[in-house]
Amino acid sequence: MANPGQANQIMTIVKDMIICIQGEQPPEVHEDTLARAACYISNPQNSSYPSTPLNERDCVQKILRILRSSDATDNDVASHFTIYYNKLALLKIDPQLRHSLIGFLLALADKSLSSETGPISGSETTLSGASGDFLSRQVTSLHRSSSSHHNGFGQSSLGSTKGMSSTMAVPDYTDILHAKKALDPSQSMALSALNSFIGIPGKHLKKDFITGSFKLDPLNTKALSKAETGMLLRLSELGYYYDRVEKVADVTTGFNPIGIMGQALICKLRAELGAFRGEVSLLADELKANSSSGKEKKGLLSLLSWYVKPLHRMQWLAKIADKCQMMKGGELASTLYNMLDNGNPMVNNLVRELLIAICVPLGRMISKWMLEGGITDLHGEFFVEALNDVGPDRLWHDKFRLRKSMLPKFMPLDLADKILKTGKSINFLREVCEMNDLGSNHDKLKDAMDKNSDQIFSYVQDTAWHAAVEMCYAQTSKHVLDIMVGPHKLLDHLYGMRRYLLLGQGDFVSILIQHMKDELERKGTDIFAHDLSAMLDAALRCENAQHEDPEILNHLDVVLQTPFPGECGWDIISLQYTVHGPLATMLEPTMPTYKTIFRPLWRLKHIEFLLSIKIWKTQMCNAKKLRLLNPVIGRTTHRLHLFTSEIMHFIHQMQYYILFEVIECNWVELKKKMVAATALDEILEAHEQFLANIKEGCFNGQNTDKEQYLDSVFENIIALETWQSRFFRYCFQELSAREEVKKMVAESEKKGRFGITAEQKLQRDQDFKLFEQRVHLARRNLEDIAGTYEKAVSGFLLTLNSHVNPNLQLFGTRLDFNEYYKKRDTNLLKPLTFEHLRQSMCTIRPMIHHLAKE
Amino acid sequence: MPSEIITLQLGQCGNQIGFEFWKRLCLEHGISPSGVLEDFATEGLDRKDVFFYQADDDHYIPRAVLLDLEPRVINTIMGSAYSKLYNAENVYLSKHGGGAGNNWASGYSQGDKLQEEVFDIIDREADGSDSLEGFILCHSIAGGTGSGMGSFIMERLADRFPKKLIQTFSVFPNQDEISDVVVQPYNSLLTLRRLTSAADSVVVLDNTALNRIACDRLHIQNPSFSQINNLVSTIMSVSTTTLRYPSYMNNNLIGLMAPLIPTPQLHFLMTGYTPLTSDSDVNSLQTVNVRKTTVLDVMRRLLQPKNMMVSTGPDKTNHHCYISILNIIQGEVDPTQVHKSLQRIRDRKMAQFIPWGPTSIQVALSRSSPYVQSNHRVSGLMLANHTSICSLFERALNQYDKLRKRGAFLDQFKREDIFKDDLNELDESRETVDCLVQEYEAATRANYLEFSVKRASEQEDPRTPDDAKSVAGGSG
Repeated sequence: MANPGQANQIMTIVKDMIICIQGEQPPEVHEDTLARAACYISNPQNSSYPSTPLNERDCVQKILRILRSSDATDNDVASHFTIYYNKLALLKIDPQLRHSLIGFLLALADKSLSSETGPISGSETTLSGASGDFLSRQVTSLHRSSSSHHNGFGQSSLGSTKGMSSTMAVPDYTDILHAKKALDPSQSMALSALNSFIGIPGKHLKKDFITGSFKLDPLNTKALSKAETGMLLRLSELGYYYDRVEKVADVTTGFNPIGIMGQALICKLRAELGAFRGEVSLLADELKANSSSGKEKKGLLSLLSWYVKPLHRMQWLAKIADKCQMMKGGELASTLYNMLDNGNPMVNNLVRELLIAICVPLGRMISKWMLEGGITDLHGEFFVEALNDVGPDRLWHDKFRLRKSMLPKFMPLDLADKILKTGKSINFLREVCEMNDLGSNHDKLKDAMDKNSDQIFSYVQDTAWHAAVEMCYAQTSKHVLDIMVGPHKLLDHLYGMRRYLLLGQGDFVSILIQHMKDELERKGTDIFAHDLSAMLDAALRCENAQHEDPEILNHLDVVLQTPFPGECGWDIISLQYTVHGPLATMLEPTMPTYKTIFRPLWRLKHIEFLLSIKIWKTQMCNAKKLRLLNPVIGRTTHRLHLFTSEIMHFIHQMQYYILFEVIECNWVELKKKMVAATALDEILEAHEQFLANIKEGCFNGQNTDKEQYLDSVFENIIALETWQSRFFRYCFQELSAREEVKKMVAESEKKGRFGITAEQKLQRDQDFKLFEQRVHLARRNLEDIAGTYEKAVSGFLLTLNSHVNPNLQLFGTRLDFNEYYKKRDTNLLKPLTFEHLRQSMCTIRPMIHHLAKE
Repeated sequence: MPSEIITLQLGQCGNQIGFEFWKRLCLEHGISPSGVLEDFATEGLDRKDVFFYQADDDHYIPRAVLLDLEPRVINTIMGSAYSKLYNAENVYLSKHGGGAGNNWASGYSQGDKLQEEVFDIIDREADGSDSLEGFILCHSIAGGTGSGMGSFIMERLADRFPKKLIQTFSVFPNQDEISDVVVQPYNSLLTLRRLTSAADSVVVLDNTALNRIACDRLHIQNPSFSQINNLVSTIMSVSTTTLRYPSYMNNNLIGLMAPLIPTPQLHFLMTGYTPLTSDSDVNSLQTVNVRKTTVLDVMRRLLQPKNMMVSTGPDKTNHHCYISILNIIQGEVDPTQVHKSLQRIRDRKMAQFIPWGPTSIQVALSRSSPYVQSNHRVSGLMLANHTSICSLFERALNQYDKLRKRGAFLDQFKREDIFKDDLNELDESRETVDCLVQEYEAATRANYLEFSVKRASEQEDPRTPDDAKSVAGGSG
């Protein structure tokens, strides 16, 4: 018995010989021929009765002759054949067998001479010729596996010629050949159908280039019955869907999903297609095997029964693939997720598998972002976006943002926000705080996130993945919060700003104003910043601030705006709180708000200063000195005092409202939130809200009636101050003139002359008359000021009472706590309840304008 | 240092309540009786520098001047644990030590004689502060030293420091008991004149009301001086709390006084405090009070006459009203509660206000000392300018008139310089106080704006009052 090595040797030689005879053909042709040769020689009839009457030698001669004649140009083939033959002869094999082999080869040579046509198994060569890139490879591999199968047969039969029973169930290859040559119609139809399954046009089915679906080939289907063509068309549907999926899964078509998540999807689709092709080829084999063995034939009908399930799956695949065309990232994930909700468990599973596949890269992106703060996103498919041209100073607020279009639908916005903030925090820590440690359980979290990425789209968000994300978020947030609140003293700084910029530290502000008194009244152009900062320092020194953290105080600064003509120190000096480093990143966006809020507060302080130090205190002090003049000025000063107390009430209530009800109450809210905060952004948001509330509360900005009335009130107070200082100047002139006269009288008494001259007396009387006139005039002026002031106040009250904001309404009632204005102004008497509100709004409007004109 | 305030303590009563006041301040600021900051007093949120200054050796020394004509009370103070607290140079005792014999005129004259020495001390103290804001004077109006010498010093202070504010804590005599000082009505009237003309603000501490409160509210049968003084020191310390624990408003004396005092004359303030407990019943009442006190409770109770530290007598015509109110609230207060409480008070019309101008209840939320444990969640002090205070002056006038009609006890007054020639001083004082009563009465009416003082005589005017008035009237 020939050992396997020898058998192989024989095989190689015989193959080479076949090549010599047939010429260069596709390998499978040779393989096929070889297989037939094996069959032929192993056939007992062949081996016992050589098919040719010629002996072996003649046969060889004849073959050589044929080869030479067919290939006149060179004799290489013939000589090669001789060499192979000699090799074969050297091998110790049964001469009988060799003879029969040579006989077969002669027949082969004869045949190839007579019909130069290569194809023996027509369908297969067509197949190999027509198929494209991937498919061809696949088919080739299929073929290889089947041919090796045949080969195995050949080998075994080759090796077992001696002694083996010749009736062994070896397929008669010549019969197959014969069968293939004249395929029976049902068989060929089934083949066509099978081919169409994987998108290959066959004898009966052709591709419509426009629709991409299969249509019947009119040449070959004339003979077919209607039922058959119908079935063919129905079967070809599967191929149509196959093509569609294929198109999307092919990166060269341009219809494919994009990005790494897209790649994941393509990969999964291809695997799906591959599995399908495997099934089809198995089917094809079965078909062949059945047809050659002559068993019951697989027809279109049986295919129809088979194709239902794959068709369904392929249809869904095509549907999915169509929807995912040219999509990427979160969009892609959302599209798939939308299809997850299907009652059909097959579809559900299919989509789930696809989703799981694309969630792997998504999960990796998320874990990289959340744990390392990195974004590797060439295709712009991640739902977090980094703006590269935004500098680190705006890192916290502007650099990163959610790319909403790329947000998968299964990712709730708050979760996405948490993910965004986590990565942002890490970037912040690294770039702004220059801290590089990654946290203690970084690896554990990374592991948990990467391994469980298939849970991202879970309905219920309590999976290991979600837990890891939440944990990571909580940890990082806490870390950032701790760092900002701890070493960077965020809360202290906020408190500092509240106390110094929002004038919460009343004593500091009044001391500062005391120190800067002269500067504040100077012309804007005569003020220099360096003087002011010295004064600020002095004020800070004597203020309680000496006990304060110096770090907070160092941030406080006085700034000067460029003065417009006519502006004084009050208009251009303002306080500023400068923050650096990480805090700047946090607080910079709120700084302009502080600036705008500071203005009205500062103005209020200005008015308070005028009112208490300048107006009230002077009144009190002068009241003692000017007691002598009371008979003349008494009524005027009385009016002045009462007017001052009226203004005082207004300004104090105003201050109280703004400083206490607006700022303090909101500050209390903010403090509560700051204590409860688990993440930095909560604090920052609360802070922004705080500022927004205050901005609204301190009558800032909008140029509405309210603000106009308020301006008018303030103008009148300033006018009063000017009026008062002039008035007291006159009074003191008069007082000193009287003293002068008294002194003169006293002196003249000493000299012995009694009293003063008539001239002097006349002068004195004239002066006194002038003074009286001045007082008279001053009183009229005072009434004017008081009149416009009162108009402004009642206008202001009207707008407050009719305001939609209940707080402002309450403030209105506070300003008129004892209903003084209400009794004086009939407009204010109207009950401003909700029913009347609208009505009164209508009537008040024109009135306001009327008042304003006045 | 900013907005400093110098405290002057005059006479027996003034020194006693001053002593209590300083004890209280030391406790609140964590300063030991010897003036050293206690170890626990590390929280730097308070302003000690308003009332204290820091000596080189880290001792806190009160900006206080102790004056008396007799040594008893000052010796008690200097013999107490707090003797080292005060600057010894600021303690002035008259050399002959005879006191003023409960005679206003004697006190006044002695003040005149001693003024150089006294003002040396005051000037030195004033020079030692960066921007002195004013003086606080503690005295009684009925005795000799506090009233007489106090009057003199007030007048001089107003002259020498025309731009500084003068606030007084003036103790008014108990009307319910017969005083052993027979000339008390004279003393009171003469002092009232100075309080009206020389002081900028007077916090009236009415012994009548303080005794009544001690009996009725604190259930003490015969309240001792120290128990009364305890009440007084509470009022004094709380009324200065916004200066010492500054927040956004009312952080200086002027900010405290300006909104309360509309015209230079109407500057007599009443106080009210709640909840009141004495040391003895802390244990029994503590739980009740702690539970009860809310902002609204406190503000409502402050408006009740029984909590007022001034006994104004029944207001039969019910025409008296509040000119202004400032409530200083301490304790754990939710800021949002405050305006709700105000709204309630307004809606229920719990208080009657003047008809001639806008006014309301001002509220100052103040921090309180972290070193003094309060029995109450919320406590409040009211400083109010109420027209009914004039009943106190009317009473003084009546008592004066009774005595004056008979010409009783005038001899000892005539011995002093000021009354050597005539008793004009008494008549003028009466007129001033009468004008004050008139003005307070006028302030209850809506036409207060047209008010003008009707004096029996106008002094030192070259023209007749009628002429002057016709001019002023013509302008209106």
